[in-house]
Amino acid sequence: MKQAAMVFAAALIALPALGGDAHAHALAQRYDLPLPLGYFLVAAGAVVVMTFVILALFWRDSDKAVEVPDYTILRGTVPDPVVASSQLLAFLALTLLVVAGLFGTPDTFKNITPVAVWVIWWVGFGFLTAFIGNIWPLINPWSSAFGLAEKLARPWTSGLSFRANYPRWLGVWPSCAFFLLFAWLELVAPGRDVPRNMAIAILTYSVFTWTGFIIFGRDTWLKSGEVFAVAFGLFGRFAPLNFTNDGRWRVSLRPFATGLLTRTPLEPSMTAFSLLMLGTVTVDGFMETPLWAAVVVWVFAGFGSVDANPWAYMAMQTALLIAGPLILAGLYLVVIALMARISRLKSANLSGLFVLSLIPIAIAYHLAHYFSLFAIAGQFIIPLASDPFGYGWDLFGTMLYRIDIGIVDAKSIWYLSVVAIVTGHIIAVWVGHVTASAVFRDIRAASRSQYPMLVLMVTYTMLSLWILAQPIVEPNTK
Amino acid sequence: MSRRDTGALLVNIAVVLTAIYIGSAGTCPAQTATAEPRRFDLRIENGRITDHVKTVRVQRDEAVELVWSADRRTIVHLHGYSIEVRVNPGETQIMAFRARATGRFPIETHGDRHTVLLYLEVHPR
Repeated sequence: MKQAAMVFAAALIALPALGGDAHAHALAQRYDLPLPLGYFLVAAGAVVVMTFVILALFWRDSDKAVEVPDYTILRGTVPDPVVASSQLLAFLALTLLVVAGLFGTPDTFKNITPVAVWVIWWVGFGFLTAFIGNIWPLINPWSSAFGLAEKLARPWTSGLSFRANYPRWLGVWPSCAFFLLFAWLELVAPGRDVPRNMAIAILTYSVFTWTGFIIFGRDTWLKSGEVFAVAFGLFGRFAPLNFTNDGRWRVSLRPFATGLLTRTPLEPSMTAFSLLMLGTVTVDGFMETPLWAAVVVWVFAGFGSVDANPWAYMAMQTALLIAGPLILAGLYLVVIALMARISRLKSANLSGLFVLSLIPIAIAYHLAHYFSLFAIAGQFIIPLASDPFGYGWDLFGTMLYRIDIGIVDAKSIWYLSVVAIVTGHIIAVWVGHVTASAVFRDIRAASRSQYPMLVLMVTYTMLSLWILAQPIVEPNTK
Repeated sequence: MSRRDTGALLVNIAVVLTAIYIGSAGTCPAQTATAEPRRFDLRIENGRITDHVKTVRVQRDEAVELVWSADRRTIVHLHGYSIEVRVNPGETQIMAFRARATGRFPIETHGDRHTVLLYLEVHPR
């Protein structure tokens, strides 16, 4: 496995060499104005005030430990034909992305693959997952194709998988590795917008996923090594719709964010995965701040310009991508150690319980950060749907659609950012509080144990706000 | 209804209100500007703006004119609005447009590599 992973990494690193006109900024480019000082101060004030309001509101909730209640409101079953047709559509979409990437035009904005993957799927489907429900397990094309293959092969073999024993200690670490690589491809790699590179990356990942299915069995690998199943699963805990499978697909409705309340601690590797995701969300925004640009200028002062040393600049970005989540994890572990001291419980259990309470802050920031990009760059899918390969087709008569960059006003985005950040913070504090009162027998210990966590939450929220208030700049040392 | 349910309820009201807000967040009706265009003279030497202007700020719906001159043949591209001019030494080229979309838009020199010259900020009214 290790060797295979190295080959995969090497293949991906070699990708940019496969050519194409690769300018780093193309799709990732956001046109957001910085959050004005007034909005920043109102939001920051609201965050601090609301933290204490929630403390006061819910603190004397009870004098003994409480079970996390079952919040389910409604249950239902997803009709099989709906599942089957969504799976077919998802698989056709995946095929289209690969074919368009390989055989379509190399122009980023005239080929459907870059916009469909980065904007519609990673950002848009991410929003859908967090705010409505995680349908990835239903439509996951790698999973459904493998399932179909197993069904077809049934007359001859009992299954296509060796069902090798998956080592327990490995947990979701393979997903952590894939996520780091994916984040690197998204934020750092040159040529990440080149359709051909993307098609090759998709094919490579498909081979890995199916190999994982074959060695360990589909269900095991979906829980541990299929990074998107793990990632969307995490984001989807915030959503009101929850999809489960007991032979048929069931759906249940629950209040927002209640999926983040856990009775059992997460595995250490899953805690690490969550911190990795939380950290990269912040790194993404931080890479566009003047502070980061200043750091780059300072580092490059010795040996020339960014343009002349693209590899050195990439190395810096990569270092930040790794350092960001590590710093967050370090702070989190300090907080957990303090909580353990106050409550006299084991840190190992606590670290798996409270990490989910940070997720709403990251989701809120993600929304504020990407909403305008989604609204503006997402429009490219309208002309591209008519001409996915850039061959000059006009399948739906939308090829000549012009992108409206004024579709959302900056003021709307500022309001949205403030409301989202403050709401996300309130939910985070609430989740932390409910979790604490379920974990700690002694309600006083529960209260006191939350102080370090609240400090971390306020810090994390303020960092998000601060990034939103920075003008977007590209490091440029010429 | 217990306090905990109240908490969940409040949280959900907040999320739903946010969602409604986002749903309704559209554009404001455009104003027609009749005033003189805002004019900015920008000169490029050695691939950078001469008087260290880093940002040009205008209001939404203002008429804007960016007047370019350069010491060598340069392609200048305003992103978002997607306006491109080719500037030759000794001549001026004008980007004239109405700033109908808010945002912070990079203006780059295009060619072998893309380098940011400065940013155009269009602020809401």
